[in-house]
Amino acid sequence: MPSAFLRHDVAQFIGQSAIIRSILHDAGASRAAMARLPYREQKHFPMTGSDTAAKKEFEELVLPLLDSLYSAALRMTRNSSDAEDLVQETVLLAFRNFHQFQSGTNIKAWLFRILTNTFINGYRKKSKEPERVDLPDVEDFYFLSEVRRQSESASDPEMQVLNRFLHEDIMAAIDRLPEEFRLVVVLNAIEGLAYQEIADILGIPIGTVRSRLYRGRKLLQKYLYEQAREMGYVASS
Amino acid sequence: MSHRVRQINCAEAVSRLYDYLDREGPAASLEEVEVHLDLCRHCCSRFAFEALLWQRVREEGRGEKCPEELKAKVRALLEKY
Repeated sequence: MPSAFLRHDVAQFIGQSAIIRSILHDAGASRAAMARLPYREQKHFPMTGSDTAAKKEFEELVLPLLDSLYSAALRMTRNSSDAEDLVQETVLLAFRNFHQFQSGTNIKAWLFRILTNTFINGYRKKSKEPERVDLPDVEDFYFLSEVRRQSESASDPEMQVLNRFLHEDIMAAIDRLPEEFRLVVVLNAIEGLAYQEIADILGIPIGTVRSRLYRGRKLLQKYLYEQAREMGYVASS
Repeated sequence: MSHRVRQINCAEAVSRLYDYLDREGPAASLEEVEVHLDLCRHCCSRFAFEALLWQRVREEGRGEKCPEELKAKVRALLEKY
């Protein structure tokens, strides 16, 4: 069945909807591809220096994911030196426990479990995050509604604002998220892990993942909008 | 479509916005959203913008490259074992 986005016959919309469709397709495809990632057919014993075949396999699986691990570590710790330590610790732990890597599961989810738990157990204590103050209630489609409210003339003002964002603007907004929301946003909205995988990683029910993600996404929209105001992408009134 | 899909209203569709974008939850529920988006241009355009917004966040979030020195350190770490 073609995506519903495609069936609205406004010419201007067709270009946009084709993009959406490809986004949704990509998300599904990458999840499917992850499920097919190479897995170990048999268990290995804990690794020793002489186990060069297993070491080679580990390197082949893990080294290509270093960019991904590093960018997630950076969003979790919010500073590059902690992120570097966290990545090194994660790789080392993964290497020592490679024999526990279950066949049929994907290596990315497994590594992200180690990364997240290492972060929670070690790095969280270091940063003195204030107790959560009352977070604002944010309405659905906040960013879209606010931008449209501010700009009466332009067509598609929200796309114009979105296109003006720089990488740093978006990272700054993510970094403002309180940790419990930042973690699920990083794991799902950025890294594309499934809700169940995140529930397993954090040891929380899937319903909690869903509600944190919902809350986190709405908060992020608010922060993005505030960033847009601050940078002058949207007129402040 | 050969079978009937239950019609849902805007509020129900919006409550499944992220399930729909993330392709999570029962297929029948996602299909109901899909049918609603067919019928409701307002929701369709709002959902479309959300999809683009989150695509941008995903791309930028994945945009950080692991520094070369760190890659070298990791390789050296593994060499020691």
